[in-house]
Amino acid sequence: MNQRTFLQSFVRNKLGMVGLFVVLVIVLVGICAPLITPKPTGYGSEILMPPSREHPFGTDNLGLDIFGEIVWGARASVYVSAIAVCFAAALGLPLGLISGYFGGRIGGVIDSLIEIFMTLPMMALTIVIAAVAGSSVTNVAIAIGVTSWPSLARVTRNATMRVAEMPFIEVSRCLGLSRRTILGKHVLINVIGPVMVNLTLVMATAVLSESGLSFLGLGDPNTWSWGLILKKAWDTGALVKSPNPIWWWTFPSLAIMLYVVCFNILGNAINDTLNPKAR
Amino acid sequence: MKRILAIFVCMLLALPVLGIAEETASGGDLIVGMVGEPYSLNSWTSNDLNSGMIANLLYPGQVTFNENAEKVPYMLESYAWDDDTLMSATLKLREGFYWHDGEPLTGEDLAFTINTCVNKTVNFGSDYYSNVDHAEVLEDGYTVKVYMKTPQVNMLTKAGYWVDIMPEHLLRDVEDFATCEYPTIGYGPFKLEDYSQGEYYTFSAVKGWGEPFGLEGPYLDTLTVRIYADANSAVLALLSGEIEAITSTLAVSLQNQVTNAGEPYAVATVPSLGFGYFGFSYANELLADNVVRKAIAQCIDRDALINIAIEGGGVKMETPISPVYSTLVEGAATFPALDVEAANAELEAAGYIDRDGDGIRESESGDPLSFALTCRNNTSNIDAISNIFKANCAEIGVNIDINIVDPATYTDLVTKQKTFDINYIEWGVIEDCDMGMTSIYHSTATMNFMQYQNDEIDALLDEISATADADTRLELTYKFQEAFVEELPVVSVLVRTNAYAYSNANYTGWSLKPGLYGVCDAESLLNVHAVQ
Repeated sequence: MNQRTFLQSFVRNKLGMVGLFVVLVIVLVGICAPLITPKPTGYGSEILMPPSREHPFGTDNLGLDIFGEIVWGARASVYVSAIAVCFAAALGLPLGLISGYFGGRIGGVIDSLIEIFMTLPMMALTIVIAAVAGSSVTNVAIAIGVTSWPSLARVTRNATMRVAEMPFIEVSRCLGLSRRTILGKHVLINVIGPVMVNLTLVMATAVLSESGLSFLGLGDPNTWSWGLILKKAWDTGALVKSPNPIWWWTFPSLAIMLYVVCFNILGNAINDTLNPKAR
Repeated sequence: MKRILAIFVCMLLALPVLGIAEETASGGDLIVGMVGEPYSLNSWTSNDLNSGMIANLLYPGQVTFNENAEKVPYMLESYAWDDDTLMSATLKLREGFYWHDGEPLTGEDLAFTINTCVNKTVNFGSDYYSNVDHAEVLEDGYTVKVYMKTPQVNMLTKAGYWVDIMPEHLLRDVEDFATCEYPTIGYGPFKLEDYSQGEYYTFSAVKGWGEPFGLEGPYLDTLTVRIYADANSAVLALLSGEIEAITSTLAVSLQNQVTNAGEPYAVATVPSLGFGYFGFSYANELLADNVVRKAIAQCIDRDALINIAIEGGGVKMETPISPVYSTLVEGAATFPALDVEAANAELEAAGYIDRDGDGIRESESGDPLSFALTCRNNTSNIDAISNIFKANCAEIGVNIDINIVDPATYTDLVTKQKTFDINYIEWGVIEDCDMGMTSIYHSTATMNFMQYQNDEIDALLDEISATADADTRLELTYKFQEAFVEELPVVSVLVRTNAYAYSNANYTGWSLKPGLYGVCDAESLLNVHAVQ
């Protein structure tokens, strides 16, 4: 499937387009956060105010605007997802390609490594890494990336094994093309579909993991993230107290849900476009 | 038959008069919640509240607080200076108590504790006994004579409250208390049976322990202290019936949650004898500059800390000594008042200018005024406190990176390694203020986390400690406060109202008095019993 066919086919997937649109909006909001609203800092007098024209998502216990927190939280979410995906791709992609293409002893070692990592409780491992490295957004992102590569490596390996047996790869070998050229130009381009699907899932789970870590107090208290907003609400009893400042925890929860669902929809749409028979 | 029935009915009616119906129910497995993990069970080297709470069950203090926040003998029967020179004192230990391995608790243990603190390094225990020359046991085996090198007016109450008696028969060969294999054999009303770090600590009650005090308790069979990561989880556990009380003090919003739940849940409050301060590490060259410390002191908005951060659950603290001790602070020197303009002007004049336009001032050598604020995650409202401080500092071009860590990490970073820039700490109890703030503010004190040194303050504290006359001490205390607000190693900001939550559903008899451990103090737990 060439690029044009892919795009034409993808555009016809309405749900996928909705997912892509929302994802793009969130990414844009994250990137343009400083242009949308000032970063909520300090404290004010309008404490725990329900949504109003001035504060569309209400205010928290310090009188800070929750809309601003959500917007700046999108920035952290996009940043964490991007770093996590970069790390996962940097580790998982080459290891998957090498393992799938070469097989043999190297493939066996890498495969065993993937197996070992996949049996580890990833959330616990992420918590340990984040706790040891310290609570900065970058450290949290790296911790998530480091624990996200095995699934990507497995997907890449399986796809590479399938592609490596195809006749055009055999022809490339016969033509004397170097292994690097075959892997980089011919194999990679043909496994990019399942890799893309997996990367969108990594994007989604990265935000879930970041929210979980923030909620456990391992996030960066100096940067707004959706998980941090929830943690602050939880710490002050906002989730259970009466009268309940429902806006404080509802909006960040919705933001996390929207982000994760839309990335999953996007991943499914890419998968459906690449493998129409899989629908 | 009628006669038998009549006798039976008469007996039933007579029961309340005989007091049988009023008998307290014995037995029961009480479970209480603790927010955060104790740093260590080594009572002599750890000084965090959670470790202290566990230690309090195993090793009740030589002295304790009464309802009026006055120190009174507890495991000691009596203590007194022999004369006004304060060069020797006599301590009489109560008889009839035993270590949990069956050995009797005697004056040998008490003398061993004092001599060990004098001759070896035993954390703050060595500070409290630093003026002691030696201790010896008298013939009766329970009276201990303490001989001083120099007078220290609060030695008996201070060390008696904070330093637990050591088992001489188990620790006599220990050289290094920081690394030793410490026993968890206590002499208190609860014996440690089992524990799993981060999960629970289970004790069995020592039946009849309260008899020397004229008490019947402990009535419980077992006590389990369950660990919770945060106060919110602990409150939910209380309201769901999972636990019966919370050992830690609660923020106002959580107090309201318990109060709103109504009967059988209750919240008991008592003014804290401690306070919260921001401390500056002198190991940081920028913070070692008095101008920077003073500027930070001038930008702290105490009103916001009280009204917003702790939701009105306390009072402002503007003097080095807590306003709870009103006679010591009336008219005393105060910390620099809120004045952001003046703070900015002073930093400017001292050459701290924002040279790169990023909103953060730099020193002349280009070092930014950017500091990490290290705080404990089990301090109530710590998120709001730290964020208000950060916002205050931003107004004078000082950047604060908030670093909220678990209690064990905090202890490691701040109290052990002293690797921090600025810390926020809330002391549970800082008492005997008229006798000197030596334990936390003397430059040689173990708890001088700031690592500051001021000879004038040291001399004043030494003089206060050695002065028997209360009026002279008071005068010196004022002088100390004057010197302290000039030096500014810390900026005290608030005194909380401590609030403890408990349930009367299954257990009753809870009591609260000033101190560290709220309704789960060993003395309180002696009277807690199952509801009949």
